[in-house]
Parts: sequence; structure tokens; C-alpha cells
Amino acid sequence: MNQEIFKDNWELIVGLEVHTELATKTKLFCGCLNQFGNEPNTNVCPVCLGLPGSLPVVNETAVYFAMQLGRALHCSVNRSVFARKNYFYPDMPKDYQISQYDLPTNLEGYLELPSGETIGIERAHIEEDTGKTTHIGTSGRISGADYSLVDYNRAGVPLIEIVSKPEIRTIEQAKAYVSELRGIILALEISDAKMEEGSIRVDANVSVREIGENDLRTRCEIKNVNSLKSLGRAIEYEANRHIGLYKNGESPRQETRHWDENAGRTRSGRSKEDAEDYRYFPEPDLVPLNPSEETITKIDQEMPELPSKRREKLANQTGVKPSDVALLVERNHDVFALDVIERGGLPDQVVKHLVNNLSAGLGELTAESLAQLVQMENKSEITSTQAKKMLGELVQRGGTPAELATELGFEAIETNEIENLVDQLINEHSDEWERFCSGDTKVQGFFVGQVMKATSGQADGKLINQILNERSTSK
Amino acid sequence: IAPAEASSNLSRYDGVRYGLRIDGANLNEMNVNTRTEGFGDEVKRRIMLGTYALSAGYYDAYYGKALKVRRLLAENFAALYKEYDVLLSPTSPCTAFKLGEKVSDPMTMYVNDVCTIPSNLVGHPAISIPFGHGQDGMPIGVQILAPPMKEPVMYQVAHTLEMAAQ
Repeated sequence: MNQEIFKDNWELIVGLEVHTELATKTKLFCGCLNQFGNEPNTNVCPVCLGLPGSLPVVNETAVYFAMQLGRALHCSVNRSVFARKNYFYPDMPKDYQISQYDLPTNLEGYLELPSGETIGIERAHIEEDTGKTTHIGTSGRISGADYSLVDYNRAGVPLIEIVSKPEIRTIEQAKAYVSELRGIILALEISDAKMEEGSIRVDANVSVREIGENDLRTRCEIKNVNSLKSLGRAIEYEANRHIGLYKNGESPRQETRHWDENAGRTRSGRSKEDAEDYRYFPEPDLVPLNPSEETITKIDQEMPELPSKRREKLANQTGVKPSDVALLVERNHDVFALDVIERGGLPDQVVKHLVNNLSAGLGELTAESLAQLVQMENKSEITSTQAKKMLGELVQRGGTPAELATELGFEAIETNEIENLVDQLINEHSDEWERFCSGDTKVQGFFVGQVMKATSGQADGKLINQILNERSTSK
Repeated sequence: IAPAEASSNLSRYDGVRYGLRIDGANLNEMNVNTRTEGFGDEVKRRIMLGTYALSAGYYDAYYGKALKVRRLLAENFAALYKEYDVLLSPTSPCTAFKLGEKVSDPMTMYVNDVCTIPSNLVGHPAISIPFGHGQDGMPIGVQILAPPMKEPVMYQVAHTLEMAAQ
């Protein structure tokens, strides 16, 4: 992997832990509804409340989703064992979390970024989510709170935790990683993955080292990053903090830090040194999961079209730059684009229109209409300015370009008509024309404007300029 | 194995959602106060043993090892059941002692379970029935152990023995 310089002679090392809530009907170990936004403590039962004597039963769909994600990330799907992660906290009803430890469902995969770079994936395992605590007090955090409230609706919701290898080297890569992972999750339809709702959460492990070093230095885990923008800011802040410490002859402590969005900085949280011993052991109330070869084959065969495949398809049809292709796939306009191209729209031009003029959405515009529009533009039946205006109308109210052109009175203004107009203007504005001929380019806008005025904006700007230049050189 | 699992199973008694709660200056103090007051000595003993057996650095030597031993035990039983339909043993190594007589001697108390623990460890059915008296006049229990899913055979043998004892 190329060594990228983050700052001066320092290299940025980032690993991301992404948690995604699965969109199953019910929770991971009980039949309670898996739903966001209900009244607190209404989707609960003895199992997810951890009442004495309750026992977990695995949700098959959650496991299937996990294996699908694993295969989409090129992981090996393995026999897995649930494990208890023991620690005390009010949002965990059993005071242990049922997760996976040394035998997770998915191991050793990779994620391909739109740029073509790949980031290694260490593992993707299944675990249950905790409840949600709200601390009532001045800081909104547990220290200094007057009292706290716990909502267990979320306790027991299935999560997949995807752990990347520390191979991310730039902030752009970090953001692209999360975006692409989210794109894959959405394509699989296993989660709605919304950062604002917490159905996808990102923790960043950040460290730095000098270019040329082989070993990794101390890292800090950053939590409470709630958007891609925050992710970038948090990584940048933390990396700079580490560099600052090293330059001072100090070094960062290995710890978990909390990203403060308002203050734009990270703050010390739990120290990872006197870190909890989670006393992991195999969950005695559950049997190991042992997916069959047939199941894994079925998953591979049923794999939907992932973003990378969609980008490849569109890139094969056009010659535009990769970022435009990625943009269309992200906006879900790639299928539409391919449709337009198939109907005869010139590929690069189709993409140009979609990227530049249709970011707000397609509305009533049909693929056939866009194809016709592009063809009309190519045959110079309409100018690009006219095309843009027509697009706006087609999006708003549909119809066909041919009808619309007639309705709007768009006709191509003949070349000799423009030539006549230009000659007329030259006669009427000899001073300005002198200035233009002697190199005053500012006055060009005046002439173009006058022609446009005379033709009610229908003339082709390119053509006007061409004629102006011809006239000035021939005189 | 049992104390290890118990140390985890009993974590839920933290005073947050139900049961006893003894307040403290903060969350941690409340947990500690509640559990100190709420758990009896034997429970505390098992929790400490279990936590130790699961801790980093000790897991492999204790809990990890114990799981492997349990597996060997299960294989032993499986081999025996190839030749025998059921197994017989005393239910406890000695006849009943007086109430409160040995409670302060935990090791002896644990040893009394030694005949009944195997079936629980390997997950096989077992049943205990009264069968005569010892020399001290106290009743003796006989245990019948059977392979998984063979409860019908186990009940038949138990019933026959029970009738014979009367």
C-alpha cells in the first residue's frame, strides 16, 4: 500500500469499527418487535429484559443477514460460537452481552473502495445491542447526572460489527469506506443504515507514525461520531493531537476518547489500560452455528448487484471519470442512465446531464425523453441552454422533448440569421466593435447579449462567439 | 464450570431493574452495596470462584481446561453406553448428616455432590430413588443414569428397583 503523508512526515493509521442494526422483524434472541421510535420499554419481554430464568433463542434471519454481509465482503463464513462479554452497565439487562469472540461468523475479507483501493476486513460478527440510557443533568453524561433513564426497546436488537484492518491512510478513504460499506448494506437490504438514527455507528481507531516506520504506535478509539463530516473532523483532530504530543516528547495514552461535536475535539473517556477484563466464555445457553456449504452457495448465488458491480457496468458503457460514475450509482441513477444509453442517448452526454442537471431527482422525466433530448442536442436541433431548460420542464411535468420544443417555441436559429444579426450589430455599435477587434474581450459579452436579446435567448452561444471571432479576424 | 457460569448468570442482580436495591453515591457503589447485602455467603463464594476461573490469564488453565475435561467425560459415558443400557451408583457418598452439621465445611458439602454432578455436566438423564437403609438407619439413595433420550428405559429400571425395595 502506498504510504500517504498526512502531515509533515507523518502517516495516518485508521481502523474502523462499524456497527449496523439489522432490519429483522424481531430481536436477536426473542420475539419482541425490532422497531425504532416507540414509547420507551414497550418492545420488551423477559428475555431481552434479562429476567431471571429467561433463555435466548437465535433469530435465523439475523444469522442469514450476517452471512450475506460476510460474503459481500469476501469473508469466509465459519462455524461460530456465541460468547458472553461480561461487564456491568444499566443498559445491559443481563450485565453481559451475547456476542461472538474467537469464533465469529465471518473472517478475513476486504472492501473495495470506488477508487479501486481495498481495505482489509478482519471480521464481521453478530451481537445483541444494548438499551439506551439518557442522563438527566447538566452535562448529559453519566458523571454529574442527577438521575438516568433506561429504554430497553433497543436491548437485544441484532447488530453486526464489522472490524476493518488498520489499513486506512487518509480521511477520504475513511469516509469512502463507510459510504461504500453502507452502500453494500443497503444493496443487501439488511439494514436502513442511517447514521442519524443510530442504525449504523462508526468508531475510529486512530494512530500515527513516521513515514518509513513498520510498527504501529499507540492508538486511541474515538466514539460518538455521528456523521461522515464528524468522522473526518474527529480523525484529523485526533491525529494532530498525537503528532503534537510526539513533537513534545510525549506520547498518547491508550484510551477510548469521546468526540465532542460542538467543541470540535476529543475528550478522555475510559482508560484502555485498566480496561475491563470481559471474561469471554462460550454462551452455555446456545449451540454453535454451523452453516452448510449449500447455504453459503445459495447466498453467493442470490447476491444482489453490489455498488462496485453497478459502477463497473456504467463505466463499461461510458468514458467519463470514475467519480461521476460513483456519483450516479450513489444517487441510484445508474440503471436509468443505462436505460437512456440503450435507447440511443450518447453515453457521455447522458452522464453529463445526470451529474450536472439532475441532482435534485428525475421527477417525471422518462428514459425515452432524455434519450430523445440528447439526440436533439447532438443534431443541433436545440442548444445546450435550451436543453437544460427543457430538462427542468420534463422533470416537473413529463411529456416528450419534441412536444416541449414546439410548445416553448424552441427552434434552432439558423446560422445566417445570426450572421445577419451580428453584421447589424457591428454597424450599429462601431465603437464597441473596434474595442473587440483590438482585443477587448469584455465587450464580447455585450455582443452576445444583444444577439440573445434579439432572438429571445434561442441562439446558440457557441455559434455566436464563432461568428464574432470570424468577423473580427476577417476585417 | 458451574461457578463460572453462575458468576455470569448472577450478574443481572444489580439493583437496576428489579429486586433489592441499596443506594450509593454513584452507580458502581449502588451495585456493590446491593450485591453485598443481597447475596449469601455460598453464592458469593461461587461468584468469586467463577470469576477467577474466567479471568484473563486463568481462563485456559481453569474454565478452558474444564470444558475439555467435560468433553472427555461425555466421551467416556458414550463408550460405556455402547456396552450398557443404564448405569447405577449411590446418589451421595454418605448417608444424610444432621441439619447444619457440615455447612461451615464447604469442601465436604461440594464432595457430597460428586455422584450427581456427572449427569448434569454431560447432559444425560438420571434419577434417584430410595433403596433401603444404611447401618446407621438413615435412608440410602440409588441413582440410575441413562443415555440421552433413553428416559423410558431409565424409568422402567427405576420403577422395578423401587418395587423391589418395598
